[in-house]
Amino acid sequence: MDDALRFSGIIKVLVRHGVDFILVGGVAAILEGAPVSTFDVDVVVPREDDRKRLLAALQELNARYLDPAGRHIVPDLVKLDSLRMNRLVTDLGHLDVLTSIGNGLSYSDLVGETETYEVDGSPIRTLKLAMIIRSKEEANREKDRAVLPILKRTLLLKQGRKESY
Amino acid sequence: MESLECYYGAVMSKTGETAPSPGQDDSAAVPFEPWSPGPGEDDDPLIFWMLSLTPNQRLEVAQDFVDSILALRRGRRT
Repeated sequence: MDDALRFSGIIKVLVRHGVDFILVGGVAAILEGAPVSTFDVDVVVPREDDRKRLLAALQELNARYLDPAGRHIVPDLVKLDSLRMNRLVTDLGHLDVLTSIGNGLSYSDLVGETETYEVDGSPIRTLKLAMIIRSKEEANREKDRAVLPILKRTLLLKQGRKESY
Repeated sequence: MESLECYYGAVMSKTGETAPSPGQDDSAAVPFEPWSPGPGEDDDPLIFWMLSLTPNQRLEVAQDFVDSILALRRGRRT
């Protein structure tokens, strides 16, 4: 974890550069009302999308790959086109740029399962809680399993209250 | 506090009651039974509170949590 993490700052830069993305993971769960914590921003981008806007946004964020060996490796069009998971460190915190989540759920699989929230004046396409739960069940990592009970309880209470949050 | 005062005002306008004085214990009027969560209900108050916030407020809560952790980390280094 770096000494800076600005959720809305990262989102703002992506929006300003016109990057097409779906907010997923912990920040999406928080926007959906789940009282969970997270230390990164996860987004899914279309596989076939033009990566130039994304690259420009990542350059503004001073993004480099998270590398246990400490090497300074910056994203480029080839890497962004070929890697399913880009785990990046930026000046505003950790950012994961993905082309799929769970068992290969891609942007086109997810886009119909989103809710749009206005974050600092910009509409942000956000994965719905039910789909976040599904993706975490499919990923089935220990950290995903740990958060599932509270995500499921939040979904149940949201549905029980029949309110549009 | 402002919203609480408004709330009292709204109640008073309907019932003619006076606002409770600071420190007044309402358990004398209504028997108090502490809330006891059932299985899997421990986090319900927290979830309901989170759901009562706007999306931007929810993000601010998460940001505040991160900021507090980072502040602790910085404190540990010095």
